[in-house]
Amino acid sequence: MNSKTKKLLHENNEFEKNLNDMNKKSLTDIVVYLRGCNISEYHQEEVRKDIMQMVADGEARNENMKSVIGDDFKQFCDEIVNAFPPRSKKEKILVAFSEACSLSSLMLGIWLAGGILEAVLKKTTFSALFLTLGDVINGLLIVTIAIGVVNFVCKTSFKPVKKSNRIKSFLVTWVVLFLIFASIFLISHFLTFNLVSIPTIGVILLIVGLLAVSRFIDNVMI
Amino acid sequence: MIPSQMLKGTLEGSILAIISVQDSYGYEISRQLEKFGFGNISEGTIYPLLLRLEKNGLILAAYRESGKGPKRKYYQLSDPGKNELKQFFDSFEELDKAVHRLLKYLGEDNQ
Repeated sequence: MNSKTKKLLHENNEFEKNLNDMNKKSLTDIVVYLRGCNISEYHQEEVRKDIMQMVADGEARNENMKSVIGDDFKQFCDEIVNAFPPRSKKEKILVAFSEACSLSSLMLGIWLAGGILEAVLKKTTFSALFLTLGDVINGLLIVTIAIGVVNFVCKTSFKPVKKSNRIKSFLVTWVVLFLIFASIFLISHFLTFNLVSIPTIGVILLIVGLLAVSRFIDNVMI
Repeated sequence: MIPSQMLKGTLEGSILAIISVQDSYGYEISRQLEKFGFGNISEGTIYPLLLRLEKNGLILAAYRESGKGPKRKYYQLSDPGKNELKQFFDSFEELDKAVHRLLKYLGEDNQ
């Protein structure tokens, strides 16, 4: 996230505190839905600011959010997203590349922290990061699942949770979580073929470099 | 009440027309539209249209202090917006004439 977006995000978070609780909840659903849409983080915050101003204005007139925005929040969000010019092929590639850089740096950070922690616990020195085939596959698996979960939460933000489905959802979640953790354990246990080793300084430089590339693209893409 | 499908094609032009008279904000625009007989159009309907007009450079937006309450986003017609408004009026006049000719023809036919 670039500094311009961070500043706007902070301002919006502060402004949101002034809204009443019911409007805050509805606004959260809208923001969560917008997070999963194909518009930049800056534009998401720009839209959030506009909506909050509208809602605050409505509160001053003693109007609730439905009378300000309308009954169908999802349609409202879809129309907002459609109001933005569609991203070109080049822009889509750059956004995907930026996200890949950001996620790769995150995974490298986790592996580095894990490696250092292991060395500390075993009272040995940590000189390089050794990645097995299992580590890489697990990394990709975790990132894919995380993206899938985020997309699912964003796309279903307006769907009410039925009480009758709660037990079913709870059981399904635990079965899925068990299968994921079992897969991760089995992959790391059997696929121990050493794929790559990177010196510690190299890992740090790689993390910084990937973050810099991601930040640069984010700044260009506003 | 004007059907929403019929409104869709004319709302953007009508919003430009309202902004051309005076810089305005979402709620005021919706009240103006109601005053002119467009019906009760919520800010939720107006906002995506304003956003599209802004992104296409037809209107300019700026936050200004309001008399009471929070800052409001005011919209102002840009030069390309003025051209777009002229085109809207020309096109609508053509449509209006065509529909009137059709209504007149139907009226004569019924007599």
